[in-house]
Amino acid sequence: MTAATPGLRGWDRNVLWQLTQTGMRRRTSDRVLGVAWWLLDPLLLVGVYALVFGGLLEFGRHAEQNAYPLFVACALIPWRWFAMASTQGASAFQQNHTLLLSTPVHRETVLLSEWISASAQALAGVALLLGLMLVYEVPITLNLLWLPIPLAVLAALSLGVAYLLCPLGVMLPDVGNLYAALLRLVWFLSPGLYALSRVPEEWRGLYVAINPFAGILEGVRRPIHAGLPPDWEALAWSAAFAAIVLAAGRFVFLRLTPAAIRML
Amino acid sequence: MGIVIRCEDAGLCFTRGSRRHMVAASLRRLAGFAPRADGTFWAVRGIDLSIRAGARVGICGGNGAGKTTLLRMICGIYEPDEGTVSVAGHTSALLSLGAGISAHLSGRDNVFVAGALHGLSRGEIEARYDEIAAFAELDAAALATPVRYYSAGMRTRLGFAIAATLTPDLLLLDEVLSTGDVAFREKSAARLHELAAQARCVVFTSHNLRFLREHADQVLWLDRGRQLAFGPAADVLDDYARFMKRAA
Repeated sequence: MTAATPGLRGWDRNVLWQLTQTGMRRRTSDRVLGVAWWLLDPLLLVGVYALVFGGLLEFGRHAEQNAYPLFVACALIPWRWFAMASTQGASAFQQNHTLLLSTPVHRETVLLSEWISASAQALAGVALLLGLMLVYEVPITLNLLWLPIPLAVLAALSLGVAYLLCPLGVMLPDVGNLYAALLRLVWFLSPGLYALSRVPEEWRGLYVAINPFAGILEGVRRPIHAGLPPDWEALAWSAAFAAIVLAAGRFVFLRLTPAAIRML
Repeated sequence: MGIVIRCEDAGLCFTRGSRRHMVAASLRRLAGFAPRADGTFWAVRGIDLSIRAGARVGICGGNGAGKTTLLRMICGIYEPDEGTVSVAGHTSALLSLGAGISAHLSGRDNVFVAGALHGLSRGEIEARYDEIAAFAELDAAALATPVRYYSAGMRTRLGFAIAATLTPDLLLLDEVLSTGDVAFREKSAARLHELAAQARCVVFTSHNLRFLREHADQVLWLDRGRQLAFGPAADVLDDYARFMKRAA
């Protein structure tokens, strides 16, 4: 035995796994339908968008937006993953405050466990996408193999945001309210309900440049809905943005966490 | 026998006041500026201790004396702002009254999460599971119930059973045992003596002087964050009792 600064425990896979399960159970164990909600939630969400925007507002009448429920689901399901994982990760300290104030648990593991459990839940929606592809009989092409790339960019971006907001949200709870409003704004400013090609051409360059989700959501949708590869130029910009957010977010997380823990 | 806990002139400074004030002070500190003296206070300061393996240390002092803050520093949850705190070996979770690890999880799941946090594998936890359940005096139906439906006593029993059965080198208890029913208190106190006899170290806070006198061999007396005395239990507690009588 050697004396050491008590400090925090190191990285431990078993702890990550146990805490991830804890996070998943928190959101399913008291529901009568349990895990079925992982599919029902996105199904109902896609249903509402398909009804309002596809049915009532006839967004599906544009050729590039045909099979509207599948079209909107291609963006809605990855977007929902981003929103859930970043929000859940951002509230990791509040969700686990007893744990953080009673054990020297590795704090990054607490954040990651929340992010992973939200991701597992949200990614079950991918099964819904596959189902919709069969329903609308879209041609299955080799371009589907590109999908992990835009999804990886989205993962990096949501993790980066979670890192950034996690200690900030403890110090300034107002951040949570602002973030919820910001998420809503960005969703409507992203090519989710409409195709990127519907954005007037003179604005499109600026639109893609200021919104990293343009490249990501189109990058997911093109292989599924249109059988085309992602727009690499737009996706490269999104990837650069995500890398910066992830690096900056983790830096801020490591810097602010000791102060945030004292304010829990 | 070796030293398990060593504190050298350790102190921890909190900001107090409105939320806005707290955030401003944290940002100032991050930017490298010294905190302004107004609106900050030392929750504990000038703590000098060496605690040997096999010791049962009680911490006494009024409300706001810094007992919990000191335990959190020893546990590694808070970093000291001045001085050093060092600990040898494996520390348990800091047990406080009524705090479960995850209230929405069943008692059984809590055992597994706590075991993982103690660095045990699933197999090692399974091997000790029955012993923990028996010590906590909880049957299978209770252990399958989410902890949020437990009574305060059930939570305390489960928490203590987990922490004491996982045989940490250092067990930290915040006002856990001096309350609660007599039978469990006796059993838990016996466990403290057992752990100490195995050259492990137990540190607990209490307002109950009799409990401290019976179960601590050394006592640390804190008053408004300052260490007023640290030494053999009987001596420190006599002084403390005299002080309390004068104050009352």
